[in-house]
Amino acid sequence: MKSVVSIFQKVLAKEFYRTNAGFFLLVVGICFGFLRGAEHIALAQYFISSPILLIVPVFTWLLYALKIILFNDAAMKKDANQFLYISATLPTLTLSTSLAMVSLQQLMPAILYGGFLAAMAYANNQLQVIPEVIIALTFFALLIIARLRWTILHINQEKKTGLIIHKLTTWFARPYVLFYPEWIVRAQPLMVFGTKVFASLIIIGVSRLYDFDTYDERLFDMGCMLAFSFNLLLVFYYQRFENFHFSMMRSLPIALPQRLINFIFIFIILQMAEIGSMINYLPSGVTVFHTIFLILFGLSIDLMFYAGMHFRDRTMESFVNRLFFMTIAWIVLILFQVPIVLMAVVQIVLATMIYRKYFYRFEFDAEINSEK
Amino acid sequence: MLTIENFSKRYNNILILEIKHLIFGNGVYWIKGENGSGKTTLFKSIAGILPFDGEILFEDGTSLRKNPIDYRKRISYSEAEPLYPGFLTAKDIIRFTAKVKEISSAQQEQHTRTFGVEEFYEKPCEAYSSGMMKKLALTLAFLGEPKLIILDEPLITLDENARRVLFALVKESVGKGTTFLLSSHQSMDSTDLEVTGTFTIKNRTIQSE
Repeated sequence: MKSVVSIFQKVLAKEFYRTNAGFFLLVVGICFGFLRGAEHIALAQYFISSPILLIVPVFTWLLYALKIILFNDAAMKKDANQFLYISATLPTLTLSTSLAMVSLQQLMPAILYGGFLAAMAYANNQLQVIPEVIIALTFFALLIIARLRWTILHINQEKKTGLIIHKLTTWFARPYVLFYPEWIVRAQPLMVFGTKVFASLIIIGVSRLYDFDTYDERLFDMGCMLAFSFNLLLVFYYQRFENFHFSMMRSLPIALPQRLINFIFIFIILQMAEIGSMINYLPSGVTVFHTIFLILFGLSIDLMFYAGMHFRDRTMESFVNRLFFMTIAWIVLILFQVPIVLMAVVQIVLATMIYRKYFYRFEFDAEINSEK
Repeated sequence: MLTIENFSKRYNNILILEIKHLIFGNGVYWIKGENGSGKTTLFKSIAGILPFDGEILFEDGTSLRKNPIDYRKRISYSEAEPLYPGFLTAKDIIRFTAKVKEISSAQQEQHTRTFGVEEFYEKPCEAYSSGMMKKLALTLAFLGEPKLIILDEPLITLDENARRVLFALVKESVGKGTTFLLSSHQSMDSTDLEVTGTFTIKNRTIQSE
């Protein structure tokens, strides 16, 4: 059994932490950078003070468990990992125990925080919280194990298309502008869902501030700029899609303006949630014209980063670093009242020039993009 | 038909392939070479997927560098191991390519039938075998009226019947003036395909046999 656990550890547990190193670094940065020890304790006491508030960490664990499940599903689909399916022939107990050990390793950050909450509950004499935490974590562990076991036992399961989807594919062919949105939603559902929720919440939150005090348009500009910045990860994956998953695009006779128009349509579709939130929660002091310019500015951000990726292929880390510096630059420009429409026009012109110059010179680097 | 001038391709400043001057006339050209010799790099460069130094142009002067759209209208490339997003159907990909290349529905249907793609036309690619994926890639390569069709390892994963169909279609297209560049580790001598010229990629360049 030791060898089985070792293989699963290497392919699933270690790989999970390696692939998500950036995510964990961010979490550690937030937890130990922004919050001090006393604040962690205060937050934990807040969570354990009521069953309703305990939902917050439990819901976070649920999202984390879904992230693990999606990672395991993707890992098991890789050609290189097909050999793992031989483990389906193992005795049920051996297989389940091996999977349990790997799943617990993947779930370790949630288990550690659960232990911290349980310790705080014990110290504060809130003993009823301890079994609640144990039950929640056990449920998530079982969920991960059950899904992984099912995947291993159902190798090459025939994919069945739902009746509606089947009818739609019979009647219509997908237009190109829907290829990427569907791909990214299937490949990175949590990232897409999380981006949409956080970006929309920022827009709504900033908009609500106008109900309590008087601000000029700049606050709304900054909120919307941040919301659009979150979407830049979708731009990063779009370039991967275009150059790797649908690489035939480069050899097709599509003019550069048409490629940019396709890109803009795709990102209007992907950013409908943000655009909708901006229109629905438009603060009273902000005009409709200004909102249109803001949407244009948001699209120009996408366009500039997309074009810039053709200048030199970048890793996710380098892309995020650039994004960080650009976000600060945009904040400064907005604070100094540089007109949004001017920034949008400059970015669109720059993006078009860079794209024209570098599109055909660009070479996608499979090495640095292997983990994209 | 196609001229390659002062071509060089480097990865991380390391020279992979260098071709001073090479002309492909009409016909079928078999490009041989060991694994990693640079066949796919050459094919992807000619197809406009990889950037390179030098020039590739058709006999009328249409250049990959100066006329990227017109050049791409004349070529088709079928990869050795084609990859398409799993949720897309053959129908989605064929219709999209046909729209870009302005190809009639009648011709789409004809090629779809030729390679037997109609049997899985509306199924998502994730349900395809490697042979089905290859048939889809070949269908896409023959769509329209390309002057040059590049087939990278066209025979792998194809069944005997599909190979016969492919060879017949290649012969028919050559008769209409299409040029083929194809690579294969299997000998072309055992097929009834008449090869116009054979080239070997060796020592970072290409030599005629």
